Amino acid sequence: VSRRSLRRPRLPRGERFGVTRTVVLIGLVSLLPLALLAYASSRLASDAVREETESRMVATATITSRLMAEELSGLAALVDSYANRPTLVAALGGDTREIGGATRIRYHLDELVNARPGIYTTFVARPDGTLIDIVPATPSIRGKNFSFRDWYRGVLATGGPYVSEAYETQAAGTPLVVAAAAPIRERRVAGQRGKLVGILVAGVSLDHIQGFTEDLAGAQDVKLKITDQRGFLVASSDATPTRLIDRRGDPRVAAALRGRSGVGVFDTTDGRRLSAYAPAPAIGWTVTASVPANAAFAAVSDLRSTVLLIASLVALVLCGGLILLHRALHARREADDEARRQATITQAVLDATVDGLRLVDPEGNTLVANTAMDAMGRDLLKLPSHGPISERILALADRTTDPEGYRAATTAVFADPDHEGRYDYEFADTGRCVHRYTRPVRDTEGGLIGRLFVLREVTAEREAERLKSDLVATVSHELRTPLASILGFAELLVERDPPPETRARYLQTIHGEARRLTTLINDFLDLQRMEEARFNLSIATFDLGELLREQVETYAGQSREHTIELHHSEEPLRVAGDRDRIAQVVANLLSNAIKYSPAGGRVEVAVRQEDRFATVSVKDDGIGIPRDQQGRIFEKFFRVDSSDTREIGGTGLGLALAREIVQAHGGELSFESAVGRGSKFSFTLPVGRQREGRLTSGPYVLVVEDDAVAASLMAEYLAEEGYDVETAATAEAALEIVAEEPPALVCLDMTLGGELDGWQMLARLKEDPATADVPVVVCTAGNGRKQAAALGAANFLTKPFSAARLRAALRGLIPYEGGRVLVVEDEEPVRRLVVETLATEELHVEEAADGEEALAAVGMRPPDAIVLDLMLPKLDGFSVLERLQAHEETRRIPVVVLTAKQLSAEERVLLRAHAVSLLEKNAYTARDLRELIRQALGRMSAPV
Amino acid sequence: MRPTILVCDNEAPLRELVRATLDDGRFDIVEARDGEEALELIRRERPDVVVLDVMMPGKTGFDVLAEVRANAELAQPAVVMLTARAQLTDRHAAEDRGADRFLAKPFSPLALVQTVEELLEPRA
Repeated sequence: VSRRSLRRPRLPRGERFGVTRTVVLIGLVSLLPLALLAYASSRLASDAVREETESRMVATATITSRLMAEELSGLAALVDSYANRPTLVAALGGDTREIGGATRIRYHLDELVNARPGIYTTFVARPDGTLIDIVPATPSIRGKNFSFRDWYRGVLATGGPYVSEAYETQAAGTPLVVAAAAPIRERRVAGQRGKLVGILVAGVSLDHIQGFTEDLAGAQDVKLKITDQRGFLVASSDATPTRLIDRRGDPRVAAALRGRSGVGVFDTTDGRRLSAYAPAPAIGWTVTASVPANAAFAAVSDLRSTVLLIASLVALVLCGGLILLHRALHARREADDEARRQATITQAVLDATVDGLRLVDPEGNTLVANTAMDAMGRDLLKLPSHGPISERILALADRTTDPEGYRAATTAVFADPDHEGRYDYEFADTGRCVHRYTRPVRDTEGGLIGRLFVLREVTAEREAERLKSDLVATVSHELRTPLASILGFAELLVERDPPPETRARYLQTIHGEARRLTTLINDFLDLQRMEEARFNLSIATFDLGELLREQVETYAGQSREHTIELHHSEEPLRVAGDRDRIAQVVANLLSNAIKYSPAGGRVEVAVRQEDRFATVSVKDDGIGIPRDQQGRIFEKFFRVDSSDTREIGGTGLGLALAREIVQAHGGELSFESAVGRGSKFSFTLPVGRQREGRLTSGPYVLVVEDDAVAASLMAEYLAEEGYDVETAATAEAALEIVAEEPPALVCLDMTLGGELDGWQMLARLKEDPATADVPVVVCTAGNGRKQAAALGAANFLTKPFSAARLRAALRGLIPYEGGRVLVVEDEEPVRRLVVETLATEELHVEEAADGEEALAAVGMRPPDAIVLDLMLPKLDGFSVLERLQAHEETRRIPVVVLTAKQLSAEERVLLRAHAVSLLEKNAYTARDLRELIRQALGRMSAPV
Repeated sequence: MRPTILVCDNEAPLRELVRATLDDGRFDIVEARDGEEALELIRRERPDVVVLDVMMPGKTGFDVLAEVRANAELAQPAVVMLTARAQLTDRHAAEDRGADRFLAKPFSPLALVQTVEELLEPRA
């Protein structure tokens, strides 16, 4: 598995934000009510506090105004009571200039001025406002008219006691005052008000009111401001007014002057203040009580901040919780993803495993099973589909070859939780073998998770083992049997010293058995090599007919009891192959035919040619092969088993070896047989033009030359050039060869030993449509260039000539002079490119789209070079290389590997071992490729 | 009367070797080329000792031995297994089936003579 694919898969966007979104939503949903709750509670609390504060202020203002009104009204009432004193009235009613009258007035004034604290002056005025007397005595103002004063106008307007506006007295240094005045009237007559005779006034210093105000303010812890009915400040808890200050601009004062009372927060020169204002009844004054708004609502803001604090804390805790929740959820989701990914990986790995794996919990439920196990359970074990696993497994016992053993082994597994073990069993019905491994699986703490079962089908392995041990036993037997004779007779010779004729017989037997042993060993080793494809055939063209004649003669000589006939014309039948090996095959078939035929039997050998194959058959009329043994006759050491055959002997390897040899030649060995009617063995061999020594595939040139030395010299030249050369000494032989397969070029001598000469041969070649196109180079010591050209010769060489001249003469005459290149590439465009690059007049390019196609093309006719892609469908480049290496004929074909694949070190080593050239697909030039191919082809022909 | 010895082997050279080994005038020697022939000769010739090969086409030496030992009517000859199968398991198989001696190929002819003599001794 590559690292890349192990990286964490990216979650889709939606899923990744799902958790966050949910948590944020929960946060919003829970924070919103919290905020509302906090807001509402602080709102309610602050409203309550505000109300309480406001009502306190209103109460203060109201009480103050009442007290103020009472104080001043009381003063006015006091003045009024003095004004009603008969002696005073009388004093004013008479002549005030009377000594007694003035004295009496003074007496009352003195008394009044001391009647109350705060009254600092008293005086009496005439009804027209003229001052009569004043205490303390101030002679300078006596007789002055004060009718402009408010007290005067107030008394006249109301006709009763009156509290005046504040005003400044005219006396220098006197403080601001208010006056309480009352009319002095004569006794009333008959319900009529009495005649006004004067006005009694008591002046009260504002200091007195100020003190009174300060006391009240201090008691209530508020600031109080008092104005008179005009709106002028008469007292303030801040500071004593020292002059008259108009307060009518103050909205609170204005409202109170209009008789209203109220409460509210007002911006003042002292900042925002909570103020209550109220008019003082009867006297028309106003009272304003105030506290700084922030002080008044300090409790509110305290409360609010407390609520806010608590709410914030709650919100904080909530948010913290949510963040933790988010993390936990996220972590869990990641853990889930990871777990899922791990599970996928694990399952993939398990499913890629050939062995069947199953993990069951202690209750017998399957926790994990891979596809191999599913398939095995279904096809191999045929497990019951239901029930606890132990029962299902035990149910198989009766189908195994050893039910007891199986039951015991299986019961042991389930009896002990710690049981770990292996057990092999075989199914009696199917013959399939299973290897079972089981062990407990524990977690890191040692807790039992369950039990793991690993099953592997070992049928093939068991079979292979069986075959191997059978083979070993057989080989041992086959070797020991002749050895027993050899050693035994040798011992008898040594120990008993028998007479000469006995000794000769013993020695003959020893010799025969030793030869048999040698043959056995040779055959066995040959067969082994053949099977492992390590066998070198030396392929050459030979006359099959001649070979058959030789073999038939040999066997006819050996067995005089049998008739051996050969059905074959005398004509040579040229086949390609390893002559000695083919002879071995024929000998084997002939010896079998003789062995398995009764004396007097008849063996027929026939050969016929069909298409490109020659078929040789050896037929006997012997005992035949029983049908039930026909399938086994190619097995090693198999001998047809019949009472008639017990004496036949032989190695039992002959047919197996014969078949291998025939197959290595590209042919087939087959037979027909019936018991009592004999057998017929046939094998095929490809007929072909395959010349001595090597299987080159260069262009095929026929040299027709009667001088053997000259012929071999030319053949050598041409072979060095990479041509495949055939020579013929006569025109007749040459024409025969040409008829078999037209060469790419003919080098023709004019003087030949046979009936036909070169000219005639040239004419024949040009007459025959099959050969008319074959270029002919006339090589002669004589003249006739023009005649040759007229007859259609392609070139004319005068003997003697050098190799270079010969080469020059041939150049351009033979197509594909440079060789055949096979381009193996699955991608059409890339293949086209390579083909275009290589397709020069010198090269013949063939194409293959996959590994199998490539091998097929190579099998048809091995190319001179291969351009090979590594990544191919069906069979990849490495496998193609391996196959090429496996065969002698293809091993030396130069290969240029063309790959886009990143090669691993291992692969590079592998390629180096195959001695290929490497080109990287995106990094090579056409020139590189041509150069490499040229080099590769250069290897085919020796340097000149 | 000379003791009769039956040699059963499908290989002619082996039969010849056994015969050459034992044919010193003391014994009558008969040859069988396979299991069937051996059984027939045991029935007919009542040999005292049978020298029996194991790996033969058709009936194996073990088959022959088992049939002889199972057939109470037959005079029970002493049996020497003479075989190229020389594994311990083969030896055990031979003993299980009632063979008296076991010789592995290749064998020493003198040892065979000695073996046969030993087997004949109680009767002598």
